[in-house]
Amino acid sequence: MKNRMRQIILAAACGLSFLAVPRGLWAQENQLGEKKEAASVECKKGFLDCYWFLLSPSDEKAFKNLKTDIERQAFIEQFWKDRDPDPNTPENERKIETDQWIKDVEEDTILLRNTDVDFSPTTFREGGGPRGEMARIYLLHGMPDFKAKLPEGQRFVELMMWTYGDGSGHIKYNFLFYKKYGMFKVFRLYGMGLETALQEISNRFGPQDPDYINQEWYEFQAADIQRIFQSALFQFSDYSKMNPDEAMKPPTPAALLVEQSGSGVLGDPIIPPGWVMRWSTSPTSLPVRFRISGNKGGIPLILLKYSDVDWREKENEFELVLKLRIFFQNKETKQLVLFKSDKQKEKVPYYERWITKKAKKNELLANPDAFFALPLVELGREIENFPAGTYRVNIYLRHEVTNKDAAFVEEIVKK
Amino acid sequence: MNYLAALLVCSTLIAGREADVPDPPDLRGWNMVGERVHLEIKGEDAEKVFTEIVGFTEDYQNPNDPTERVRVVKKIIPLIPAEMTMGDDPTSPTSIISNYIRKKSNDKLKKRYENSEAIAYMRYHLLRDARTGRTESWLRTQEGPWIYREGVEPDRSTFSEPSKDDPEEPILVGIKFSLGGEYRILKIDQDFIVKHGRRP
Repeated sequence: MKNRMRQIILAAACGLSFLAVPRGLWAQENQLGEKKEAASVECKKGFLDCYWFLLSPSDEKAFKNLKTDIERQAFIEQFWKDRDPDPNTPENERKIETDQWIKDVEEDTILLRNTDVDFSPTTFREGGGPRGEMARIYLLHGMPDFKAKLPEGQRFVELMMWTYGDGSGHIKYNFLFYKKYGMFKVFRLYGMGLETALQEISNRFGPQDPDYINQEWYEFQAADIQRIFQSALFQFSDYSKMNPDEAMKPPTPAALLVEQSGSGVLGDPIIPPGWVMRWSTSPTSLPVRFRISGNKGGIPLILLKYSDVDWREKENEFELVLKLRIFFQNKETKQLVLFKSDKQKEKVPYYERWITKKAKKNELLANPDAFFALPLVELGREIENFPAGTYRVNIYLRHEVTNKDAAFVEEIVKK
Repeated sequence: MNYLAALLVCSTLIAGREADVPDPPDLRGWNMVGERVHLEIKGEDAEKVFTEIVGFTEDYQNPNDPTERVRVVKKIIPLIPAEMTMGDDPTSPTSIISNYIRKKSNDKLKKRYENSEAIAYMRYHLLRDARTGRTESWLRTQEGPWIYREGVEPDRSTFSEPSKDDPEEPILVGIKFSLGGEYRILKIDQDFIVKHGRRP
């Protein structure tokens, strides 16, 4: 009978485990409306004392190893720069917010001034003081979107819940605190079953017998009419990989988030290591002359002036690398001509090659306004094999390093 | 003969009167008016807005004649900010990354403005009359020479090419300016567009 009761309780608990906490609560403004306002205060204690919760062990070690005030100041400036959530604004919103939260914890009155229903006044002192778990969570995440308390019952301790939403209707964190030995602790025993959870929040010392646990569960259900605390015993977050310890770690600095994302701005010059650039006077273009025809024996030519292109220099040798891509489309049939590719086994509908030109320093400097030609012999042979017809030719040439470019649209007649 | 003469006159009128090519306007001392407008290629999917910037236009006012304006079209080395759609939560990773990309893009754009290249000018008057109403236009071809026409403005159109991955589907890669039978194309290598995530 007792075992059957336990099975029923566990089944009911599983059914409740994904019970949604009222989502509309995430949309409610923080009761005190303080989360988003700029702080007019700055933490005046030392850097480590103020911002200990944001520092990883390696950050702390690195800071302690600094020898001079100048080094420490530089570290602090970079530290906050890396954590600025919006570099487009002059202020660092994260620092402003954090300093206000530090002040809240030090004054320890913000949770006393709370006017939420079902949340009796409390202090950070009840959660271990300014360096306890409650304070750490507040310092990292600010005022929760939703708070509730469940008074101590006959068989279970006082419970408190802080819920943070992610702005899109999901629970980011659902911290459940239970008050044991006079102090609120963060509940961590997710995934270990109802019995283990109830043992932990029981108000008697030591392991309890199953009868006691059953009674505790009945009492708990009766007290938790909205079932929000029952849900909190089983699920910390809507994001399956999240747990309380992860949520209480220093957050990834904004700058590192960006780096890890791989997102960025494309189109900038990428100078290979070891090379020095000799820049041309043309800021964006390749002032190139391109000669192409359908005539037999006509070799396509790229004509450039030495001074009109950017050269990369290494050990007195200059090099130019250009990417050439050409589409040939028969105007009558609309078909694209296929070519062998360096990278793919099948033929591709474009001609694409990297073209390299090397030059000695004296060659370049002796007559910078001289032209040089890049003959495209292979392409010329390909064109000789085209069927007769008129072709629309779409030519694109791009400098490999600087992305300066040239684009042409021509027509050739192959007889 | 009369027919041929008429044809020649009509062709010239349609194409704009070609003259000896005067130098493009010297805008030193002129004041920029209004906002700089980007020449952009745009696309979007469910997650991202894609914007590729190939140039911009600026309008200048003659300090000695406020009714005389010149619009300049300038080319830049294309800028492709990989911006993600902002979420509702400003502290979310998506929003933070978006902010950083926007800052990086703005910083790089400022440098691009300084290192831009004028490829077209249009001189016009705000008050048009028989004496001052003619537009004058210049367009620089890829090879370097300037093309000049009176009475017409450069034609602007989008420019597409076959997609390397799917030749049946053209991919928008640039903007084409045409004047007097010549043209200038401002475009982006489609490899960058695809790397950016935009598909045809």
